[in-house]
Amino acid sequence: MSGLRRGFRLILLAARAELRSPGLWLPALLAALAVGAFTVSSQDAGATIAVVLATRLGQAYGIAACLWFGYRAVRDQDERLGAVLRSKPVDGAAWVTVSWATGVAVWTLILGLAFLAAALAMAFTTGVPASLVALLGFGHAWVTVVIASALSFGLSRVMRSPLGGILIMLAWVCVIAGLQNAPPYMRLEYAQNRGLFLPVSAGILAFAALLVERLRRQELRRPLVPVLSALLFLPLSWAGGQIAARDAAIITDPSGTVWEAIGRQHLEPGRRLPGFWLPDGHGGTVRTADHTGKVLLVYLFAAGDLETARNLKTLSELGRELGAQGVQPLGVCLSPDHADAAMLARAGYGFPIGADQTAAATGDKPQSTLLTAYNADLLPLLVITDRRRMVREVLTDTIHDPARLRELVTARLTEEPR
Amino acid sequence: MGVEVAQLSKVYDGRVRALDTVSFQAESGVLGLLGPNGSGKTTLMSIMATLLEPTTGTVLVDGLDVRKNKPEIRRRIGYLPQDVGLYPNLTVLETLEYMGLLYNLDDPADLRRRIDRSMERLNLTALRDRQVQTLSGGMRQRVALAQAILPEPSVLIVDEPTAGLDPEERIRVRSFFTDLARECLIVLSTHIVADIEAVASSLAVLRHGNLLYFGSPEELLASLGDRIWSFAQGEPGSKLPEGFLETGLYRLPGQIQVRGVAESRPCPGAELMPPNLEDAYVWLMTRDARREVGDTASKAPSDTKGKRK
Repeated sequence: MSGLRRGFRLILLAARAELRSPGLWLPALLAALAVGAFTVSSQDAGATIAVVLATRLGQAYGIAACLWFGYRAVRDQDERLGAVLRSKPVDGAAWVTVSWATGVAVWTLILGLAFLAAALAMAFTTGVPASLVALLGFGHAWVTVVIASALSFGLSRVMRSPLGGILIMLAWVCVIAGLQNAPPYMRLEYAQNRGLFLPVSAGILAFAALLVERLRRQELRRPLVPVLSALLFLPLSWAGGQIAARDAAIITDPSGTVWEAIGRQHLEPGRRLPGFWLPDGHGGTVRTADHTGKVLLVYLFAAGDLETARNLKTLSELGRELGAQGVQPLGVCLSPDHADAAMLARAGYGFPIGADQTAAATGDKPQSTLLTAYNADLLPLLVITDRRRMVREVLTDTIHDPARLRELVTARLTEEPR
Repeated sequence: MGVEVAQLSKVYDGRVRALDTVSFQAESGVLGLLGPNGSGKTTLMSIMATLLEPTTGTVLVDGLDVRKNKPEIRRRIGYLPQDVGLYPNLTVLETLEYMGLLYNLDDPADLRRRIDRSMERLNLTALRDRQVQTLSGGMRQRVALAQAILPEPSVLIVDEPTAGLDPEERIRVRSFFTDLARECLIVLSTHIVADIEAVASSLAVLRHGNLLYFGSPEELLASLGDRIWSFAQGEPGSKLPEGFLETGLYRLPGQIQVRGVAESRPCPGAELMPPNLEDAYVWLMTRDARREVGDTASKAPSDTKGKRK
């Protein structure tokens, strides 16, 4: 217990010292202000802003953290400070853990500041429910930063050079930049890959702390114990890797039975809307079959596109206003990161939002199995059906016009009153 | 209390012999380590501070073997390396608390008492809330010393503590060592002979990893006997008498006075002087260098292994 208290006190003292550096707090403050301003300017994007921030800030702060942790891992190993520290009776493994945890505490505050700015801006502009999604976004980005920090710190400590952090950063940037070609399970910011990256980063950190640092401090008496402890992370990493590979977004040829069935019924006015069963990101399922007899507004959108995300608010308002008359919006979020749909599902839009987890790209040429099956290659996409689920409208360019959308839906209700 | 070094050798990368079968024992007071750059002083201190492993031989610190009892020794020693680094953004008080926690000083009241005492002894109380980066070199050195005495060590190992300090700070640090030497053994390495002269109760002189002398400064001075002479030099840079080893040069009004070692009066008008440690140090170094090239004419000092209390 006293060891824990001592560790906590050490972290507190060192974190306080780190945060006194204007080189750290000034950029953090400016970044938070920029995030707040960006959130205010994107107020009609609603809770989707939190989803975008979770991804973008996770990446930006994670990459910066790679460099910072790489540098910090070796800062206290030089002869000036390192000799003072190594002459102290603190255990090497505990020292590495405390040193890393100090960095995590510092980056938690820095990242938290940015999300606090976003949450406050959202609370004033969009409402409290949306700002709560910022909390989820913070959690998602925080895990990304923690993974990046552990990988960079551990590797740099092992290599005794900031090169460890630089290597992690370069590998990550390459994977982000080469999105189409790099395997999706290499993306350390994706929620579905955490099963792989959490044990890998913990393993590297454990290896650095239990084995390398103790060896360096000449404290290693029984190497088998730390070696086995570090090796324990191997099966965990393997299992996580299996899950990540299984969940990886792979565009399948829609020739299998289910997709083949959907593929035979492209989105064409007059034809029946291809049905779907999609996970909603937090354990539920979004099914077209649950909404028989309603006018469906099926909206396919990219989570990271703030322009398209604005329509969620319009759909939400239509759903609330005309829901009693049988109008049912259904969202389909396309994002390679499974966390996005999970956050949106909790965003308080008031209608089901499913996730097409096969989405591999949502940029200029979006790719997902559902889009391929629907023979669609443009996002966003809004499909309006009648009460028999026959496709009446397929809209791509008029969705941003709420008045036009309302007009179309009202016309449908007039034609098919309840 | 004390350190015991027996047949200690340290070889780096299988080639560079930093220490060669060094043996001595010291129990209290201030043990001064003297020697030129590369003589093995820092290696010897690093081994005592458990930062390096000996290649052969044994080193006992406070009766504990540096190979087998590292955590226990680290708990009992204070160590101050040459050119010490501290966290620049911590205040003096925070630095001492941080280092105290690394010494596993768990009890907050006890830690606070030790910090207050260290600050008081090193005249740091008024600086307690100043960040380390705002302190002068001398003040930082005092903070570094304060952190080294937090565990109330039985052995304090300090490497070049007065290098780069102004005269006032140097005197302050020397006074501190004199005061602290009543409580523990201080192993003090330095280039500055005057520091050793002021505080050391025993002396180890190293050269190329070999122990040239171990004993008290007084014994070393006594071994020089009536060999120190001083005379006025005619012209600066003029030839010195045969067999005269220069140990110092002093400018007096209207003349330059040369001081050095010679077996007999080197020139008419030369005056016999009482030896000081600087004379002895230069004499030892030169004598050893001559020996290396085969000149064994000089008499060797008695101790190359020894024990001091």
